[in-house]
Amino acid sequence: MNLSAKNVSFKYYGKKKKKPIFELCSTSLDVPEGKLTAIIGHSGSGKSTLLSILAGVLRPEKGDVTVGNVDIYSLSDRERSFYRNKNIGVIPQGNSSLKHLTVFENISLPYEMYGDGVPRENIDAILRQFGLIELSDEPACGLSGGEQRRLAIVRAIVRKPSIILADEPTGDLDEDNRKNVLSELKKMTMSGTTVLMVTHDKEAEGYADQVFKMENGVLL
Amino acid sequence: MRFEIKLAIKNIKGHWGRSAALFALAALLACSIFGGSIIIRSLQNGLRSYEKRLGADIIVIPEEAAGEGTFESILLQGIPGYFYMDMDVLEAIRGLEGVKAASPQFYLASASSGCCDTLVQIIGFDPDSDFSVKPWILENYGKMINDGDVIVGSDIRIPENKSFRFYNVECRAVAKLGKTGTGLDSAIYADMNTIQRMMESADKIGFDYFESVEPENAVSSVLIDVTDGYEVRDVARKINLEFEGVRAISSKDMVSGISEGLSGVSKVVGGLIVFIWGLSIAVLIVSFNMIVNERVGELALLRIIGGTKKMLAGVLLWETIIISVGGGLLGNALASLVIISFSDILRDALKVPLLLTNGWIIGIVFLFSVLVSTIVCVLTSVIAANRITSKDTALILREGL
Repeated sequence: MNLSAKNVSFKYYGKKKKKPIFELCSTSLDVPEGKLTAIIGHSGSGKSTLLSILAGVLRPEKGDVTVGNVDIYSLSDRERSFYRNKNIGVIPQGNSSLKHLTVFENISLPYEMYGDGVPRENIDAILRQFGLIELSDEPACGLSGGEQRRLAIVRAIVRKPSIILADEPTGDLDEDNRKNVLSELKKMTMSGTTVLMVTHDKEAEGYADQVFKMENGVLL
Repeated sequence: MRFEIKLAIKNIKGHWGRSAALFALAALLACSIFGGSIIIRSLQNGLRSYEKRLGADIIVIPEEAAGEGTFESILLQGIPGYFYMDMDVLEAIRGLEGVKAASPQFYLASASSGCCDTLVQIIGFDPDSDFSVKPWILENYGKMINDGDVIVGSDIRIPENKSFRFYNVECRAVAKLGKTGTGLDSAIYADMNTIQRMMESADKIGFDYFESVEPENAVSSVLIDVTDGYEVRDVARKINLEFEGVRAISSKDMVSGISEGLSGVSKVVGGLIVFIWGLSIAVLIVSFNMIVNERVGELALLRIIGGTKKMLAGVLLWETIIISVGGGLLGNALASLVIISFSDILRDALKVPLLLTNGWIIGIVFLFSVLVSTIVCVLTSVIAANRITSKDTALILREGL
């Protein structure tokens, strides 16, 4: 499934809402199916904003976002959320987990949310692959930064979504895990998954099929 | 089970400190409205029962009993006491204009020595002329008591052999009266012959209760039923003017005196409820806002994995409902326990009649207070939930989870 954005723009306003403090200029982007696309850029350049628009959680002021043949912003909040749950895996920045739930419960959330059966064996296999199986029944609050990151990745890819959007997926990871994550993302593209990652990581560029640069809200 | 409920339960368990604090607040809200309402209703109920049990328009007692409050202590607090005046007063009162009926009562405090089984207030009445106690006895026993029989107040435990001994006079407990919430619940009622025997026996074994009055001519109070068309207060005033050494008190004055005190108590309880509610609602609003700020990342995370805004609001709502219903039930259960266990102490402390209201009214107030406190908790949490669900997930993601 390919992902494309056409002339999307967005402005963040300060508290007084007079002047925008950040502007994502009219941006168009095609992320081809089964490819790993990277967007690199400094902090505050607009990478995460673009990622949020593509994930369907930030409605652009102008422009369209199409996932496969679906214009996701033409859907209602309920339809778009359901669509995201089934088709888009998002790896957000930072430590993203419900800290009081166990690792397994965190991974099960996307299934339980819509009453789908939780495939214990599949989850265990992927937890094993990312070195988290021993921590399966531990509460997420006890995980290290790197383990939290891996947990977020596992949760995003566990349903084998058609599209993965990753915000700094290798942040907080050591060398081995970084390589493991990048290889895994690359491997997923082989089976047709479309991956878009935004990153600072120079090494990540080496895994990408296409690389964009972003500066001050403009995609170069 | 729905996802929202399942996650709400996990969230409550996972943040037990936060949940316990909210639980306690919900308990306080429900408990204050339930406890306060039940106390106020029970005071009103007690006053009604007190008025009914007095059963006379005017009560005439020796002046010293009115002055020192002995009479009121017997009626309201159940402190055993005695006072006597000469029987001549009864006959003189019967001859007064406006007096339809007058009946004597005899108050005798049992002794704590070997001649008596228990320390209680014994009240004797004349079955032939009585119009105050008889209706209650007929209601509870179905017939009049015989010589040597006694009827006991609701707080008195009847021994297995149903026998009591007062001043060496053996009596048989035949029935128990209903609860009034007054001192009369710890009194024992006997007919004139029985109490006269007790009074004479007490005198013989050296209890100097009667001072200058002969036991056979002693009477403690005279209960008066005023003829229709006569003003009760006028008849009472006339007795006070014509008879020396006695005090005629109209029942209405006795009740209204208590009623004034009761209105003060009700105001204090009402004020306390308003204060607790104001404080609790303010704390709830601040707490929910703080909690929601703390949970912005958590809810944004649910959004990006496919949660709808409705689902997020549902999780927050279920958490609030579970906590407030649970807290409300616990708060009310504790309040019930305290009120039931300490109602007698409360009655004695406030010096007013206090009779617990009916079970079904308690049930309704119980459910109503849980409902009201739940609604208040839900409303305060909705304000905070609305703020969080309307906050842009992307903004949160941009700031970093």
